[in-house]
Formats: sequence, C-alpha cells, structure tokens
Amino acid sequence: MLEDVGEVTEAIPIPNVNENVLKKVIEWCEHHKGDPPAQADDDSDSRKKSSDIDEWDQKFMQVDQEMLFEIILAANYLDIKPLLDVGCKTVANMIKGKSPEEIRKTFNIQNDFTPDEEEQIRRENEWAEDR
Amino acid sequence: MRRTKRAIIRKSKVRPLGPPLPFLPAEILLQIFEYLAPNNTLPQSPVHACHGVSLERSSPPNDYTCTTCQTSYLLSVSLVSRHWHKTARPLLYRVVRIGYSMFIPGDEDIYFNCINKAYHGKDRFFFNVFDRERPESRKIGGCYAGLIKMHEKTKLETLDARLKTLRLFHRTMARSPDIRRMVVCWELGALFPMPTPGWRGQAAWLKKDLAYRYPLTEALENIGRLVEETIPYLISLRWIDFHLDPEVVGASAEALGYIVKKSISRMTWKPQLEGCKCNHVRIQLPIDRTEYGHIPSLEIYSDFDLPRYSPAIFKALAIETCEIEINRPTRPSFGRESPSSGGIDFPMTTAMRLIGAGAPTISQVATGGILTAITVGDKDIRFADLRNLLAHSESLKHLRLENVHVSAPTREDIDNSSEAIVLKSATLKSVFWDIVLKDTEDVRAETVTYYLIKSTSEDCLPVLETLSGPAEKFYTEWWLSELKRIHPQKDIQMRSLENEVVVVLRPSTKAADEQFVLTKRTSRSQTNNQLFRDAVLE
Repeated sequence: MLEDVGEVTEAIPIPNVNENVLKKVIEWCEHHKGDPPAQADDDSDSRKKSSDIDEWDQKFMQVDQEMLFEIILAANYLDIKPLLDVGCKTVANMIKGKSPEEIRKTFNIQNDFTPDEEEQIRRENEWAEDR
Repeated sequence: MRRTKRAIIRKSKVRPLGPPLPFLPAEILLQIFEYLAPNNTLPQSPVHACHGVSLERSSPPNDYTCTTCQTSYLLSVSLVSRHWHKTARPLLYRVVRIGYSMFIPGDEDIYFNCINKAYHGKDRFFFNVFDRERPESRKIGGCYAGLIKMHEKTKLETLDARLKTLRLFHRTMARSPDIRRMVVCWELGALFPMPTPGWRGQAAWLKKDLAYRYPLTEALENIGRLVEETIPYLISLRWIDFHLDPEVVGASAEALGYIVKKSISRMTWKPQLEGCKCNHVRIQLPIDRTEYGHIPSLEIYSDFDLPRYSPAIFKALAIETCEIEINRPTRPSFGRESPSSGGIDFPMTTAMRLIGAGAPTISQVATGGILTAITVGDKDIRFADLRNLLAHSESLKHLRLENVHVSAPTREDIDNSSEAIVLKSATLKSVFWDIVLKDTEDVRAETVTYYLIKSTSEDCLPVLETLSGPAEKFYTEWWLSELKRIHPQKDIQMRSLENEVVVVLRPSTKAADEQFVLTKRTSRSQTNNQLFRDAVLE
C-alpha cells in the first residue's frame, strides 16, 4: 500500500479498519516482523493445509467471530497475505466436520435456500455424498 | 405457487442467530474453501486410504488425505447459503473423485495349516464363514476357494458401490450443463482387483485366480462403459486419473489395459509395466475433441521415481505409445534415404498426429540408464505422444522418425498455429521427420527436417506438397528422383499451383521405345541361343 502511495508525510487514512482491529493487525505484524518472506513455492504448498498454524497464531486468532472476520477483511484490505492465510485457515478449521446447519449456527448465516433449491443441490451432489 | 408458500413459511421460521457477522467477499470465501477442497494436484504418494485403513508409506500418517471427508466439507459449505454455494460449487467439481482405495477392512492374509487343520489369520470372521461354508473339505484347495469367494464378494461390493456412484455422477452430468464446464480433473480411484499375495507364478493357482478375477470383470466392464459414456459430457475435463493398486504392480497392468481400453474409444494401449512400481496413470485430455484426438496422451506416475520416471516405465510408455493404431491400413511407403537437411527450423506443432505404416520397430539407446535417443521407424505414432516422450526425457539428444504418416490437422489446429501455414494447402498424408534436439544454454531447440507428401484419391499417386523456405528446391529434387525411380516408364511433369506442386505422370514414349527394344533384344537373344543349342546337339 505504501508503495502505491509513494513518499508521504501525512497520515494515511484506513477507513475500512477500525482501531481495535488495527491494533490486532499491528500486534500480529510486530510478532512476525522477523519472519523470512514467504516464497512462491512455499505459498502454494502451505495453501493446501489448514492445520499448519503456529501456536502463537492460534492463540492470536482466539477472538470472537466478529473480530476474526474483521481481521481477515483488514488483512485483505491491507494486503497482508500471511495474516489473511492464517485467518482463512482458522475459519476453515472451524468449518471442518460440521453439517450445513451447524455451520450456519456457528457463523450466524441465514439459510436463504428454498426447500426445493436445497433439495436440488443435495440431489445434484448425491454422487459425492454416497461414497 | 405452492413453492412460494413453502418458502415463505420456512423463512418465517428462521430465528435470528445473533448479531450479523461481517460479510466476507467471494474472494476471501474462496480462499477459505480452498483449505477445505481436495488437493487438485497429483498425489505425491500412493492411493490414499481412508476410513480406518491405511497403506504403507514413508510419509507421516497425518499427510493422508481422506478425499471423501474433504469433499464432504465442500458439500456442507455449498449447502449453507446461496452466496457460499456459488463460491464452493466450482471447487467441489474441480477434482471429482469417484470412489477410493480398494483396500477394505479385513482384507488381510489368511491361510490354512494342513498339519493342524486350523486357519491362521487376523480376522476371525473369515474362519467362521469357512467353517460354515466348507465343513466337508478341510484341505488347502477347498479353503483357498472359499477364501477367494470371500474376496470376490467384498471386491464386488466395492465395485458395485463405485458403479452406483458413477451412475449418480453420470446422471448429474447429463442434466447439468453448467456443471460440465466445472469438472477439470476426474479421479477414478483404485479400480483394480487385488489378487491374493503370492498368486503370481504359481501355476496351480492360476485357474483359481482366473476364477477369482472373472466375476469382477462384469463390474469393471460396467464401470468402463459408464466412464466412456460420461467423458463426452465433461467438456472442461483436462485429465482423468486412474489409480492403480500399489500392491499389485504387474497384475494391475492387465486390469489397467482392460479398463482403459474399455473406457477410451479406439485406444489399444496395453501397458507392459511388469516389474514397474506404478500406481497412477494420468490420461490427458481432450479426448474426442478433435477429429484426430481420439488417443489421449498418457502419463504414468510411480511411487519411487517421482518426479523422475524410471527408465523401465519410460520404456514401457515409449513402446506402448508407438504401438497405437498399428493396424491401421496404410498407403505404400517408399524405401528412401533421407536427404541431408539444409537446417530448416520448424517449430513442431501439436496439431499433428503421426500415423505410421509397416513393421513395428523402436529402439532406444540408453546410456547409464538414461535415455538419450529414440529411433522410430515404420511406426504408427501420434505426435502428441511423441511430444509427451520428449517432455519426459531431458537427456534425449536425438530422435529420428522414418516412414511415419501424419494426418491433416484440424481447422482449429491450423488457426491456432502460426507456424503451420504450410499445412493449410491440402490434406496431408505423410510426413518424414528427422529431429535433432539440442541443448543450448538450457534451452531446448528442436531442429526438424520434414518432407510432406499428399496422396491423390484415385490411385494413391503421391503428389508433392510445396514447402516454404529453403526446403522447397531441395525437397522437390529429391521427390522427383523418387518418382523417376518408382515410375521409370513414365514421363514426369510438374505443375506449380498457388501453394502446391502437382506431379503428373504420363506414359513415356521414350521409355516405351526402350522397353520395345529391350523386349526385341531378349527375343532375339533367345532365338540365337536356341539355334546354338540345336547346332551342338546336331
């Protein structure tokens, strides 16, 4: 982002990130400032596994869901890819093993399918369910 | 109307679950779902086993991928809401896996001790069944048959389950045009039966082994037929992966050949993988996308040689790819010496399929176990397969093809290849390649000398195709000499058209005169000889 803006002396507004979230983001950045930069190959490999979150990050992500989602959105907005990955992995781990209804409850998502639509999707994916 | 009412009723029953969470845009959801999706790259290990059964392998057990579970994650998220469904569905169909490992619980070694008349093994279930089913024949043969019967049953159940899944998938494909475009990779799991340990090489067991395998063929045939029927629906499919049973190395080849032959139209691939540790065959697509695209290119992945293939596998692949469509009727080919090239650079295009003629010969020159040269003569070979071989052999320095035939590229192929302008002129029937591969500063250059021939439809008289660039004069001269050699009694005229040269053969008056003189001389000589013989006798 700083590269995009160039050299500036004035404050850069970040309208999409509130104070609490920004503090968390800065905390994460402070902790990981000494990390070696991720290489392209590592990135493609690490994307495959959601279980490889280090211990500090796991604790860091133990926040309420709203904050977790805000951190993910902030990481996306500020283009902090490693933080975005950690956030996405955390959410993925929360989804694993849950039924659609349980996922809806976990993330407070309203089911906007009609029964017919839901039935159609189930029928469409019957081949995968039946294994 | 009824649907709307039900929807309204349902919506009214939804309770608020708390404060709404921030809305995650599709790109972030996609990234989250990626962690739930089955890996779409090739497995680095043998076929993964799930549900309590695991295979021997060197990597840690937590690397196992339970594809069924992973698919179920995506299935779940696709049913959460419309927004999630829209994002998850393409991932769900990116890698479609039908079935999983053939390994099943209880499928372990079991044998009968003739001395103490007792069964030995880990699973008591089998013993009880044998005792019940064969109380009268407590000898090794009878027990073995009983054991085989059990294996048959379990394998058949697995295959039937897979067949059912395939049918469901086929039905989905047939009804859902939007899904057809999403299926990129299709993994068909370990399709092949596993013989009992030690079956190979024991003649006495052969009959029983056949009996063991025979009932499975029907299920395999059904699977193969269904695969064949489903492929045309999958318009975005880039490859199909067949997983072999890693425990059955040589034996899998037969089943693989069978299923692939059944699955892929016009494919007569008979793998000679005896002794090769091969567990995974990838068939790249498109199949049947073009007029000449019936034969897929093949990639074979091995446990031990990833990412490099063993020479044995490569050899088998080379031989087999060159044997494709060997029995196709061909035009007469000419014995010839390839003229020396003037160094014509011709980037090879994948638009060509080489269809050969004559006796199958292929020789490989391996130095220190590394393949350095391939010579193919009088062969049927497809150009894509050739490229496949080249791509997998970094050490290959020279490739020579003689007496091979190439079919015309399709219109699409021509349009997509700026270098194939020369092929636009007419239906191309034959091509002769002399390919020299060079390594220059890690850049592989391919220098190709090529000669093109077109046959007329009337009498298979070869007609010259012109070449652009320096090959034209050189090839024209060679071709005329060939024609003169083959048709000494005819005059040869050449007519240059816009982009081809037509060679016209006419009866030569000079040749006819020479023939007449020759005949006359022979006749006279015979008369003289007769007179001499008569004189001696007299």
